[in-house]
Amino acid sequence: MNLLRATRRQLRRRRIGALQLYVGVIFVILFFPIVVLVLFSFVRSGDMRFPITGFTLSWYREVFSDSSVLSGIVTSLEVALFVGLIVTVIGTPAVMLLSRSRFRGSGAVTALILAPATLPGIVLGVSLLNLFGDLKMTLSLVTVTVGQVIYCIPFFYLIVNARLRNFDRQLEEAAMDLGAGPFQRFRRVIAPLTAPAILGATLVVLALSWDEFQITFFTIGDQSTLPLVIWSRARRVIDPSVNAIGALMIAGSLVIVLITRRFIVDSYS
Amino acid sequence: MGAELRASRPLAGEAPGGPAAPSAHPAVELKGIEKRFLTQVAVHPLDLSIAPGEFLTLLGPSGCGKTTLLRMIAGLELPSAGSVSVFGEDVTDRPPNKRPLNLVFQKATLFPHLSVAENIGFGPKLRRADRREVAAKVESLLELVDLAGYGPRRVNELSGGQAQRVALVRALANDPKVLLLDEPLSALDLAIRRQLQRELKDIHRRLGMTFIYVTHDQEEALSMSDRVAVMRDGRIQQLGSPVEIYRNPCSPFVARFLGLVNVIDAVVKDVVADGLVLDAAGLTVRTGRSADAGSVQAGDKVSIVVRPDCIDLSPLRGAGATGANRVEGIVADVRFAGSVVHYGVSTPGRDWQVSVPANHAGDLVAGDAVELTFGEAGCVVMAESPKQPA
Repeated sequence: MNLLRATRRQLRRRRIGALQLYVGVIFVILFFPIVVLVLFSFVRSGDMRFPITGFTLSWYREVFSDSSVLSGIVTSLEVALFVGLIVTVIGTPAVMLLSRSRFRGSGAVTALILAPATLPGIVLGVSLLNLFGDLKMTLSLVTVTVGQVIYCIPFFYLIVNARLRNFDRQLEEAAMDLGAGPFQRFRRVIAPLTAPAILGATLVVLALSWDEFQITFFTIGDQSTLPLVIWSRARRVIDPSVNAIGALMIAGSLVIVLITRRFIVDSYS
Repeated sequence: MGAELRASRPLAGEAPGGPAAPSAHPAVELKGIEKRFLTQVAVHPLDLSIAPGEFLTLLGPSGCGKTTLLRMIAGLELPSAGSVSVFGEDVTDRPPNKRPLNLVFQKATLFPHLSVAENIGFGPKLRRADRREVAAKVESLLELVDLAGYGPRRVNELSGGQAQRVALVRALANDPKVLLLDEPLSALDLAIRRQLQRELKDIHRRLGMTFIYVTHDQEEALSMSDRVAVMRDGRIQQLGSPVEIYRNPCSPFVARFLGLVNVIDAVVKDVVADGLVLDAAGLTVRTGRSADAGSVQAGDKVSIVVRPDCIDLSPLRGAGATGANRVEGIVADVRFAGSVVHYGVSTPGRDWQVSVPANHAGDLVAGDAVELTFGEAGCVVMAESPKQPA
């Protein structure tokens, strides 16, 4: 009996061990390239090989003295801000309508809104390029913004919809019963309770736009966003300065994700 | 205008029916009100008039239309036909935010982003009432429900009972002419429910406001109300004071719903001057004449209710005499319920429920042979198909 119990306990312990090992392997596979990238952005030698001979900040110095990188950062921020703003302004009323009422064709409308997320980005990029050509539009940051808005709306929709679907309609009835008209209901009950989810979704859109490449590649004019700067640089030379830009991009995304987490996760507790 | 804030209004010490407008109009009058959903009728056309200061309860099982009826009064549901008037004013076409009524929901439905005080002040603040008046009003309302000092708290720190109290005074903060309550206590524990029943009744007495209350709990309805409307399948089956409907249920459904379980089918054998002689599958029953059975003739099928508290239970001593309103049986089970003892008694072809005050109960146990006797007054005769009240 004792032996059996001991074996079982050991098994149970080993099973937890196996799960931990599994998760560990996944994490290594996921993050090893990123860790290597960040690591080599600080390594002195230019050939990106182990063993590491010494550390330096010179790659960052090089990056920050490169005007194309700096203008790429500014351009990316500019595009991201516009995309975030436009998606929020367009997306919020759409989600409000679709998550709160069913009407003839509402399912089809939802499917259409979500479609860009399921299309390969390259297909979306090529078709936008054709469209802008047909419309005789000059490729510029405007066309990039339009393309990214189309790409980001499904994500915004999914995040906000998840929150609004759980919204207790009886709170609205209570507000109505207490004398609130439609506008007051929105201002005093619906808006304050859904604002965190909307803000969180906007931040996710900022992060998506910040590192969007495929659609941007096809729709951009003579300016470059940061991902395009990296791409063109990496085609010429592979040196640790690319790693430094990569690390900067990751840092940017990470900051946004951490802020987002605060808004979305905390608002559910 | 019901929209004006009457902050100076005293909350305590008013006589019932006192503060309501001294108009000749009923507080709420429903005329031919009806609700049809696509294929179903939730509420059949009905008229109902509720007096100022009255505590009226809509009682019935789930799906009987009581909540739909209440929501039509509140304006949260549009009637398919008919009209709703409040103190003589037709409000049928007004949205809920323009009706001088407030509703307390089954769930507390407090606004989670606002404090307790902000929840209570929600209505007055919408009407741009003076901030200090609102604060004073909120404090006096919190005192009314023993929650003084709870104003700054977050609503998720409240217990279920506290939350429902806050929801109650939030509705009262608007000085409604009529307060509607949709099973406000049904989600609470029994002890808190009993306590809040007393508090609600007390608040009703002190404010003299008209209350319309919805519940499926017959004890709650009987103990709190001035009048009870028993509903079934979208119709009011019986409307009357708790004593009236308990003493004189108009149908087997009402009787059973009120916990009067001894419902017996019988045939009228004879109509005598002061009552009826009935045959219930061999058992002869003599009853007094109840108002409802006025038109009954010999040969008619009727149902009778024998109230559990009107039956005498005694140990069987030898072969007793046979006679009217008397039956022999075996005690099937004994349930002690504090002040009363409930006995289940099996007699040939029928089970009886008998309630005896605990200090009168003997030491009967399951299996004892007993005889049941009951007076004429303890029986209510109901015509087989109950008349529908208009």
